[in-house]
Amino acid sequence: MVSTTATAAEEYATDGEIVAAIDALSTADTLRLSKVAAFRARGLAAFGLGTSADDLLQEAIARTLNGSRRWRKTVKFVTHLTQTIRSIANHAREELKGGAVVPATSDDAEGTLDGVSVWSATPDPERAAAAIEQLDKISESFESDAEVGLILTRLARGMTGPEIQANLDITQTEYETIMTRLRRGVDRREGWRP
Amino acid sequence: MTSPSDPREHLAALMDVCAENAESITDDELLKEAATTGADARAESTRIRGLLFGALVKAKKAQLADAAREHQKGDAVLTRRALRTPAAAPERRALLMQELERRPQMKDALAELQHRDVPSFSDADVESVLKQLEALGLLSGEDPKNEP
Repeated sequence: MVSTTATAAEEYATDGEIVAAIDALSTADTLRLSKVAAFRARGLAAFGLGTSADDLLQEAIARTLNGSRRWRKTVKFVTHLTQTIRSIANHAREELKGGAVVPATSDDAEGTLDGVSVWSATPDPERAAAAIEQLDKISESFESDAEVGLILTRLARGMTGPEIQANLDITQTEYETIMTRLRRGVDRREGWRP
Repeated sequence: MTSPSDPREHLAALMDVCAENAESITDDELLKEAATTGADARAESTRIRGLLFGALVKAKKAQLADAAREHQKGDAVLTRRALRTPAAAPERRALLMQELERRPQMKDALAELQHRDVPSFSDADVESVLKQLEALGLLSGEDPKNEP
């Protein structure tokens, strides 16, 4: 019993080890974190959430430190952070499913909520229209890339990565290569610049 | 497979697969990509590291503030409860012995906790144990002398 407890304690990073891990992040690690956080933030923006990439990175560190998402040292620190960011973003989106974040106006006759955003159970039609427009523009920018076009069509049908790969009968490497072109194109379109 | 009838879901799914691709590409690819786009990778790296350190310091400060608040609350509770115990040392000792007579099973636990037999407890030990018992709600307080 005692040895199990000791193992569990050793398995998770101390505050000092977290500091050392941040210090040891390579340039590639930080670029990866920056890109991953930017894409997750764009996913949240589709739902009207104003959470920035920096907000997600900061929240990932806060959760690591406060123990709600402890870092198991057998996992690479950069992987732990990207997984934590994904979890934060997914949770935020889950809460908005079927609804939207909208400015508080309709039931606020006294105007006490002016400028405040609230959750509405009805999906925001403006936000949905903006998402359609954004998707159309992304598709247009890949008009000359048939392979990316095939992936976009399947994503629109709700297929996951492995499902798309199986449906197109392509290898993992081929899928990753096409996905890299798609990601770079979206990055260029959405203006990611370190 | 579920078709995302909500275009927001579709757009978010697209951003998800892009994020997953950024998670899986090699370090070399990332660095080459930054170089070909003319991005200042080193500046971004410094900024991200600073952001993470800043978040860490902020979270640590919040943790310390919470701990300090809890500590103060605990002290206040113990101080307040201590008012319910007799002021004089002999009376406090008598109260403890009375409590131990009521709950004899506690005697061994206390002896183990304080590393000595109850009769050899110092006055400070007695006071400390009474405070802890009262904080845990284990002091009966039936003796009228103990009421505030």
